[in-house]
Amino acid sequence: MADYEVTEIQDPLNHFALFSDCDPVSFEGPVTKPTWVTTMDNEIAAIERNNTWELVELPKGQKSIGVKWVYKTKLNEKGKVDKFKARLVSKGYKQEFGIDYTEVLTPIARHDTIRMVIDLAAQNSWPSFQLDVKSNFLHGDLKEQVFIDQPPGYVKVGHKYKVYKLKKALYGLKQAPRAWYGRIETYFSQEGFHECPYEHTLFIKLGNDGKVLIVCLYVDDLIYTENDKVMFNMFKESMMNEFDIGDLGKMRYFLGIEVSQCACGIFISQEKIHSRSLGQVSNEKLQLCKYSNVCRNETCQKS
Amino acid sequence: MYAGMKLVRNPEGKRFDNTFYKQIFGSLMYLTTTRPYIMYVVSKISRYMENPKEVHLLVAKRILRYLGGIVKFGLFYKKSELSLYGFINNDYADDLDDRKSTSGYVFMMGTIAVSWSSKKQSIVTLSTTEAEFIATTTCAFQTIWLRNFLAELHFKKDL
Repeated sequence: MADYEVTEIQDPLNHFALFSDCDPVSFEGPVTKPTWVTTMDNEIAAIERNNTWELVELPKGQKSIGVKWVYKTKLNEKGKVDKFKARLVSKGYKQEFGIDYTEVLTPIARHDTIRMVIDLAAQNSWPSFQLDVKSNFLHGDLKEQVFIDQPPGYVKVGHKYKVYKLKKALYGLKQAPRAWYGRIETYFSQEGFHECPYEHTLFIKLGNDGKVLIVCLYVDDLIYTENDKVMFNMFKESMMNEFDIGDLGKMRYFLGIEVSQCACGIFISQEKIHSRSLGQVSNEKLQLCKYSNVCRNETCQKS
Repeated sequence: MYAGMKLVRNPEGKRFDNTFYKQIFGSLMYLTTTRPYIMYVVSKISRYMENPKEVHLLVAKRILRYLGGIVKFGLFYKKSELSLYGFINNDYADDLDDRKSTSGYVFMMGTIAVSWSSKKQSIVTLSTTEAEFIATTTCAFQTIWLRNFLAELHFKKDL
């Protein structure tokens, strides 16, 4: 819906029917609907609980960047409404290099690394597990000074002209991924993990008698493999205290790769993605290009 | 694509919607995560993304048809000897437009592939030996990284 600009509504009823299923794109609509209002209240409460910002006067010469609400209706696998989600995002495109952001590069796990970790687990018959961190970008600590406007609908009474100074990152900020990486890296080094110098997203913790816990980080998804239950449980517990995490149990589906673990080894495949992408392209467009032996004859001669 | 087929940048034929072509390429690239064997063709068709002609789309379609038969295939990691093998190859001046070569490598842990790549070399070479040297160099970079990485992962120095 965001792609189309509605200039004139000819038939309001029909128009409403067309877009009744879509997620709202502006703030004006949802503000009247109780479902969206509660989700927005929850989001604001989560941000405040997280100690993300403080209300200040905007210093002279500083600019504040705008924020907006993004609404999303999450469906479950049966296609029914699962939950409504409202996310407060900052308009990162207004940021200027050197003023409110500097470094933005974030290390990410290579696929080679992930396969190596899977191979290692298979070689030793270790189980591998998966975790994901919820609202991970909100955990990142900001080094730069960033001021944002008060979110629409949540302007503090009597402080209309004040702005928020961010202490933690918000979705949409240019440096949010890096801030998150910095945060989790610090956490891992505090926990006694050794960061692999050749792959900055791989963390290894060694215990006594060859006990080991290996964690591989892919933005907010973590895979880990271990040979000691005690260390593993301790890690999970401390992660739960530190961040809001979802335990996905044994590794089954990671970055679109299906993983099946059995006693004799680990099998990885991409069946789901594979059938989906094949389904997407085998449409009429591809039919335009009829399968023929033309290419065999023509191109061969040309070369 | 069949054995010995050569592609050129600007063959005769109808021009195709490049967005659609790029979408196919994107899907195929993703599928190389568990399929080293399509790496070469996929990197090959990526060279014609800006101005795809019918022939290029046919090649892309040929890959899709091949993939259609092996949906359930994947990689099986199991217990095997703990040693790293690397294989390299290149095609000498196979790109007819700029006569650059393509180098590729596969690394296997025991019997299972863990790391692979196929990439057009960045400079023009004048002999197969020279092209081979460049391929070897690319492979050597990866070897050094893998050795260091494995030493960390398996806590061993000599692999």
